[in-house]
Amino acid sequence: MSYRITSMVIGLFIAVTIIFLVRKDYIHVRHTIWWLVVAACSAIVGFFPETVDLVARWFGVNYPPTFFFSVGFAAMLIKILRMDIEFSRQEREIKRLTQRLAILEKRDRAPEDS
Amino acid sequence: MIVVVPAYNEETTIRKVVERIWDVVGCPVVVVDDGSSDRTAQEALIGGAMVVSHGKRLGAWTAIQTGLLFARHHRIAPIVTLDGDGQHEIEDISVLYDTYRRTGAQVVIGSCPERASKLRKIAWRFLRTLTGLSVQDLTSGFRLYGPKAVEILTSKEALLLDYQDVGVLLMLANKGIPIVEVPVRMYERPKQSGHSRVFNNWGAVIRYMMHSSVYGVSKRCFGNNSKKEVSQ
Repeated sequence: MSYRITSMVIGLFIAVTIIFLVRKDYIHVRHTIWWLVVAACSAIVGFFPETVDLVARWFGVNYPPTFFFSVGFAAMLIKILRMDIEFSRQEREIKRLTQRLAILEKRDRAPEDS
Repeated sequence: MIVVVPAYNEETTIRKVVERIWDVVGCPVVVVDDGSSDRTAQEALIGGAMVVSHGKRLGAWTAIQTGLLFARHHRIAPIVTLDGDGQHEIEDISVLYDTYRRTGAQVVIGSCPERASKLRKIAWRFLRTLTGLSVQDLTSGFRLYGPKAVEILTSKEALLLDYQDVGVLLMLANKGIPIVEVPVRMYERPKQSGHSRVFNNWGAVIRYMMHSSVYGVSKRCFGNNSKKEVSQ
């Protein structure tokens, strides 16, 4: 019973936090879908713990908690990888903007030449 | 033709380099000041260069790329890059240019493998094996780029590169751009300024080798990609 409530509370807490962050403009909507899905999954597992057993059996895993943690771990890895991809993209954008700005602000006359 | 000189805190040498280029070659010079904290930009201006300044330090390769972007923007080609610390012989720009005119190669590397220490030679050989590149002088900053090479190197993909060596050469080789090497003279860098950005301390060496190895393996190219010019 307590396992159910914990999972439910975590799921709802994550969902509420995310909506709060979007409301306060701390996070772009683009990044929130993932976390809302995580919150939904967490809440579902809380309300219906037997779903884990059911899904685990589909994938041929005999011990459902192992399956639960494996999926959670894989999901986190994917999210972190996506963050690194996003960082690389942003680094490129920042560099290109700095380059453009540098070219626009070009100086070509020395004080003594003019 | 235009000469691009990336510079980070080179106030002691940059003016002389720019003036030498004016005297010897007489073509426009762009100094890309990579967020220097000294008088590099002012000294370059006094020497007669155009100066393009990064607001923040972005690294040697990104500075070169800004120069390429600048030249492309103004439709000037080819582009010669050389270092601001005076280690390259300005007279040898004509060697690169003549080779470009004669062979039509989009990339001409001014090569001086003799300058490398024993350790650096081992590192280069290792990287050559790993990447499949047959370029002798992998890190030379004295190069000429034709318009096709510039187009590739100013792409957004090239923004994630850190050094003007393995990554840049692999990107060009993988697009089928022929690379030609010609021997040039190189001098010792002055001790106090212009420290090697790569081979100056062990942490940097290890990081550099790891980056280059991962890059080299993931982007390995196959086939012969470099011609060595023995003339001159």
